[in-house]
Amino acid sequence: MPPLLRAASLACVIVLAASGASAARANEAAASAERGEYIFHAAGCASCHTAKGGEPLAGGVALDTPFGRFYTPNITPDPQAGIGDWSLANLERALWEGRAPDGKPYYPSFPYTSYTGMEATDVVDLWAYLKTVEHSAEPSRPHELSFPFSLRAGLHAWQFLFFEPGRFQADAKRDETWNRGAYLVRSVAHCGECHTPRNVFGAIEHDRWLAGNPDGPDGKRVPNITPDVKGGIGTWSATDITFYLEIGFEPKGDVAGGAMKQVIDESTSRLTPVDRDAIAAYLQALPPLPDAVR
Amino acid sequence: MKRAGFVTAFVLATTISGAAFAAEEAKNLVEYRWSVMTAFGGHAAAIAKVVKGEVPYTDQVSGHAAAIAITAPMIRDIFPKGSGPDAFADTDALPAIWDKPDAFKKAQDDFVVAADEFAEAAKSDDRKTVLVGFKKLGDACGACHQDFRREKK
Repeated sequence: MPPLLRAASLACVIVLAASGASAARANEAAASAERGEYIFHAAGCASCHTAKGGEPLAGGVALDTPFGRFYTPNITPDPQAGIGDWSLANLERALWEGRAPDGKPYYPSFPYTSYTGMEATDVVDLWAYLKTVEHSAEPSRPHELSFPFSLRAGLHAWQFLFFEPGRFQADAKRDETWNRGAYLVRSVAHCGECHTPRNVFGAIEHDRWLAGNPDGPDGKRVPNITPDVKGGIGTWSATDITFYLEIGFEPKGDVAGGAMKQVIDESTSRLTPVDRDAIAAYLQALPPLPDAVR
Repeated sequence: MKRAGFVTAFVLATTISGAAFAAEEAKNLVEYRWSVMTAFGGHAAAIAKVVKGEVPYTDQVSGHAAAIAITAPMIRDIFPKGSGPDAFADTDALPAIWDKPDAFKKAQDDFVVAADEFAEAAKSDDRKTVLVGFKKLGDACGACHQDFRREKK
């Protein structure tokens, strides 16, 4: 290798290493609350953290699961009731590692198994936005869980067995649209948390990814969104998917109620058309799976 | 004695046929309701096909919207008592319709208003105006389905 080229490639390596190091944490000074608001909607935070008729982001939404009833917490900047005394590092730890500022593990009802893939720049923007929302002094309610799930210590074992922390890794074999869709579906919009069945430990069954969940939140069935013609949405065109995510009408003219209506209102209808196209491209490229039947 | 037997038989027969008649009536009411809902869905699906740009019939959107608006008030009549799941198990109508009449009436009224407003919006040449009205109509459909329709199996 000629010396000049060698020097150039060495410089590349140094630049890559440097950018790799900075990618681990984003610059808080360069954060944008405006971009953060977009991420906030894409991540569907309000769907779970704002109760019907309650103060925005003050929590208190009940999530009924086979393990008991979870109540979502207050995430407003109120220093007592909310997360006003948090730092960016606390939010990163919550989203990426599923841990509270004191190090205690969170229950996976908080979808950190998905959020762990969120890019550092998105997290720092989200943090900038969360600091701007209205305070609420509404205290968070404790969960009502059945024994032994009420023992938080068990979560260390759960995280060890079922939680793999790590940022989203782009697939170089796929195009930019697919990768953007994969990032949104898997990490930010956390679609798999409801649309994938869970095992007896409440962990997502990755070999049945997005094949529907017979026992979703509130005990309701969540549909298969793989391109399987019979069980999934294989008959839907890309436009059918993006139109549904924007307006809410299924191709046959029906409008679903339930949790998805809220997801459309709070989240997918607020995305850019480019991002909805990316989600559709990713969903259509999934392996078609038959309906998840217990 | 013989007469008492006749009376018993008569009462029994009328009770049974009365129950059978009520069940048949509930089935007919629910089937009629399904037809009306399918009509709404048919028009909505047709509109969706146009606004997605999959078919060229942009001048037919307002006709579909008018059809929905003119039939929308029918929903005030087609949920009589005795047409719920206790009378005909296949219906997706939830008991909340009859248990919370005020909330149900509001959901019905919101739908009728959204249908009227969409009929106006659908006359516009501006795609955005049409889409916003269509989304509001869908919101009204979904709000009612959310609280008053059983989750799909």
